[in-house]
Amino acid sequence: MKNIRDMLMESIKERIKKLESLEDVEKARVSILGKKGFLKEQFKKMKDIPPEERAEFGKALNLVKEEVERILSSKIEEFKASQKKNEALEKSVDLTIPGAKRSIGRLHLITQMIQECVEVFERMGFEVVEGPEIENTYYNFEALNTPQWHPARDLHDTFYIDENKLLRTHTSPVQIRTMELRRPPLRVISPGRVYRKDYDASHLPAFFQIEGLAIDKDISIADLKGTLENVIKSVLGEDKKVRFRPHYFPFTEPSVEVDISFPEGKSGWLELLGAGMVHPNVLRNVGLDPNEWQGFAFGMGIERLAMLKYGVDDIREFPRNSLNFLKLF
Amino acid sequence: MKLNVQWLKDYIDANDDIEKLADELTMSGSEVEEIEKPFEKLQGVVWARVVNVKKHPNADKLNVCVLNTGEKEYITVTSDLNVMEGDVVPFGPAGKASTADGKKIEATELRGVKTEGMMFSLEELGLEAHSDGVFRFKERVKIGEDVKKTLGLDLTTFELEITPNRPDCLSHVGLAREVSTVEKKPFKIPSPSVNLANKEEIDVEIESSGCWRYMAVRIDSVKVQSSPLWLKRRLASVGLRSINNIADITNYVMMELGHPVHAFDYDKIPNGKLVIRDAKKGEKLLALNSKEYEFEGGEILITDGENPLAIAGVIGGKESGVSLETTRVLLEIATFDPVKVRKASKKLNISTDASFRFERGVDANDAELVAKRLVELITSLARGYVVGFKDLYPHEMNERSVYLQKRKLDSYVAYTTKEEEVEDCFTRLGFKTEKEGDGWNVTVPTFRRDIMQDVDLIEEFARIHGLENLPQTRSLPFIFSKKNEWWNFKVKAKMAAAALGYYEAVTYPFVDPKIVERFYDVATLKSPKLINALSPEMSLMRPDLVIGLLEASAYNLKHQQKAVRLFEVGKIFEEEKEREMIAFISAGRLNEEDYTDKRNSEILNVKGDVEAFVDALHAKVDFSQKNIKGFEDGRSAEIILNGKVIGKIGEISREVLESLDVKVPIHYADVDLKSIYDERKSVRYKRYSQYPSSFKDLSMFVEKGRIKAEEILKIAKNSSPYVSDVKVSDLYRGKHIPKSVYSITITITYNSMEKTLSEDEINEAFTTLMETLDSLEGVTVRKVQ
Repeated sequence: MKNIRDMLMESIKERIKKLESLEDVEKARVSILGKKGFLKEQFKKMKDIPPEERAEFGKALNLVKEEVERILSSKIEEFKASQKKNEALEKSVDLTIPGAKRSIGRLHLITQMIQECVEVFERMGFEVVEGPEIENTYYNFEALNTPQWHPARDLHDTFYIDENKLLRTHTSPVQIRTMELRRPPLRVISPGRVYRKDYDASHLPAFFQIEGLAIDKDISIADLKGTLENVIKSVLGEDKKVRFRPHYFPFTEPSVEVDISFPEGKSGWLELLGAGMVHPNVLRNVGLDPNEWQGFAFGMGIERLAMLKYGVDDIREFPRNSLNFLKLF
Repeated sequence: MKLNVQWLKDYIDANDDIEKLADELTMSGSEVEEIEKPFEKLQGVVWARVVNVKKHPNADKLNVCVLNTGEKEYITVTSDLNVMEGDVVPFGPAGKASTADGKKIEATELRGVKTEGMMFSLEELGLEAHSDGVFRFKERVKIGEDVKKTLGLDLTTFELEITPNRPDCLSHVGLAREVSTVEKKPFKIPSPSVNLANKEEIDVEIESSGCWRYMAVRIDSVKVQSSPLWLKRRLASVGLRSINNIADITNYVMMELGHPVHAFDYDKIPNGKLVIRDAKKGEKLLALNSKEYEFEGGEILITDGENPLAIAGVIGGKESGVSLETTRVLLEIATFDPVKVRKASKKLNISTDASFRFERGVDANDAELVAKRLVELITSLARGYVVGFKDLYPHEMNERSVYLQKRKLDSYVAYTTKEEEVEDCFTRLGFKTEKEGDGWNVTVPTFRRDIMQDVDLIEEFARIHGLENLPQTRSLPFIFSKKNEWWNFKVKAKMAAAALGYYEAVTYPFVDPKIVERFYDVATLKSPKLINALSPEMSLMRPDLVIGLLEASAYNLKHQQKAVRLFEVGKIFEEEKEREMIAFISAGRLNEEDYTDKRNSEILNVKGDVEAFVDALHAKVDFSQKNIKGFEDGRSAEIILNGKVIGKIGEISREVLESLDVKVPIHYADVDLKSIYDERKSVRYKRYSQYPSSFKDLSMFVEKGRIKAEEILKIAKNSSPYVSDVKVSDLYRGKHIPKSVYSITITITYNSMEKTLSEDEINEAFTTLMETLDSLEGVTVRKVQ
């Protein structure tokens, strides 16, 4: 009996050998199991077989049929799985392909730096005020205790529109404009553009400053020191060392300059900003009694701050507006 | 101001640690910017003996010398025929030595003779302004020794930043006083024993109110010659070159005591008479620097009664100056009105060591000391004897007394000071204190004219006490503060612009009128011009942000950027007004890194960005097509808010692009930010329909020039009460249709607040609209379906 089965299997081996697709399986099924298929043909032959062998032959035929069905259905499974796998691959997306990126613009480093300072000051109760960039000489100099032939004017190379109008050389005129309009107590900061007729590798003819003013009954040098150290450390890092050095500005007395320690292990100090207690003459100029009110003021260069914070080593990057630069921050 | 540390030690036993000394000065207000070695570049020069001098075989005016430095013999060629055998000279061997200016000495050949080095003059040693020959040293010296060691040139100087309020620190004695205050050590001022009494009267008259004191001393029988080495060395160390003994002594005394003085050749003063008066307009003087100055009038002049001899406090005249032939000198020790000196210096555009000091204020009460010091030095270095003397002092300078309330001092420094420490501080500064009430009357010497009010004394206390030793608070007294809405609005606007894909630029507010000309009629433009601009390209305050952004775009395009999208928030300048604008500029790819979006910038994209931007700020603007100078015809419009023009949009004209060498189209828009701020709508909740909407598309051909899209949209919007929105959903231009026609598809949203609309209601409204539009001139509705 085994021989009959083997014989039958042998004769259909060729038909089930090369099954490479579902179509091949279907073809094989039709040719083996179909109405006119091989096995049907064999069943038809049964009547010619001697009756004593007939049962055995029929059994063998059934076994072969089962085996072929099993082989074919396992092939179908196999092909279906592979087809499914193929379909999944086809509909997949290679997500290592870089995304189709939309552009979000960025704010200029100057704006980011100003905003960072503004946020620190706002937390301390300071309010933003602004003033014009074309100023009267009065607001830029005289009101700030710097009369016309004062040697301190040497520190400010000035652009003039005419005899009485100039491009403000510092944000300090905003102090005067604010105090003329509002009574103390005051805590204001004023970011903005200022101008000096000075253009070389380390100076721009137009740059940004942030001015600050705090006027109250008992504001002291200790308050000035504490406020500025807090701001500098908030913006540039708690690890920075800050030093206060006596200096001179016509509109503050006492005046100080604030230095910070050089970044990354370099020794020495870097001048960062000028500050001081508001000069009594300045208070008098806006009608405040210096025996009643006192306070501090300061002015800080934004570019210098940004250069320190981000290691920008060429100040001319700021007005250049190269996208290579703008995209960095 | 340069301070020679060794020189300083003539007056005070200052800290030997150079770094510490520098730190002390810095922290008391005289900032040491640089610690320098002024003779650092002078290297490798040693003493050598001349062992042989021979005529140069090929040149009459040259000698060939052999020099011995103890170790080795060298050959050199010199044009100084006075060099003799046996002379001791500074010699710089080739390849090893360099001059005070840093020039390296190289081996060369002079007319066929090889030189192995160079003999140095005082000029090359950095000790003299000009030398005629080799320096021959007359004193005993070790051959082969470094000349810097022998001559004491290995010295240290400080470059100090002296603030304008401290002219008293512009001298070695003045800085010695500062160091003495900080280090709590005594210092000594020179006290020359010279008698100026009972001398001949000098004829001096003061007519100018700007001359506060004028002291004159006449010295006869002086011998003008080269200064001794020590004097040359000291002057050189502080950056002054030696001229002759008289000039050098006047400079030396200025650097020592801080009082600039002048020396006249007495024989060059007609009639020996000086008149100090204000200049008349048009008068002229040839000054010591060989330049002729013409006066505006009002400058203080030293005259001979007729003609100017010197510009008071600024510079002397060439004619009346001291020369090698001078035998009688007249010394001027004066004090002038600082404002008048500064005016003269500024108007004549001449700044000297003297004017620098006078315009900051020079003490009038040290004149006698200065005069005596001059006489002492001149009579010892140039011989001579004092013949005449005069002292006019019409504007007396008195010590000032300033009251300092202790309560105020304590309030400023934020701690309760001790009376002794305050008094000790002022005493060390040379001030006298006298207790009165809750404070002191502090008497301040005349060399400290900057001390005028109590706060000036507070500063003195703070800086001498040490700013780092003062307390530091951790919080300020609380006050209510407002927020600045306008500032916050601007920040929000910038964020919105960035969100639209634009990078913020910050450009210069002064622009090139040549570029402005392409957008405006410069002749009628009211924008302010700078009268002293850095260059013509930076001379006009911008009337428009377009200039700066165009330049920034051109820069980026030239540097191979494929997508340039920038915005700027900044002021534009009109006659009397500054307006804050926002501007957008766009060129090249819209989304460079989005490979699914290959679109390039178009005017309608920028318009869409402006609309999105204005929407985000809760305002609404209209666009009114109009040709604008500088933009392509037919591709620009005014931006209108509430009937007011607040901006513009357009494609930059080809001519402008060509002038900037730009090859791709650039689109630009700007809007007055303050107007948007002022007109922004308050944000309120509004109900919207809860029922489903229906959307209907309608396509049509539109003929440009016959009808505007705006009208079509308006008709659609008003076509039925059920229309809640009309949007453009497609726009087609190009192939298959004429260039004067575009195809537009609009999507109409129908809905109702009360119900779900029926198909019939919608179709009726839509059909009516379709018919209305189709009947319009220039519109052909495309029949689809």
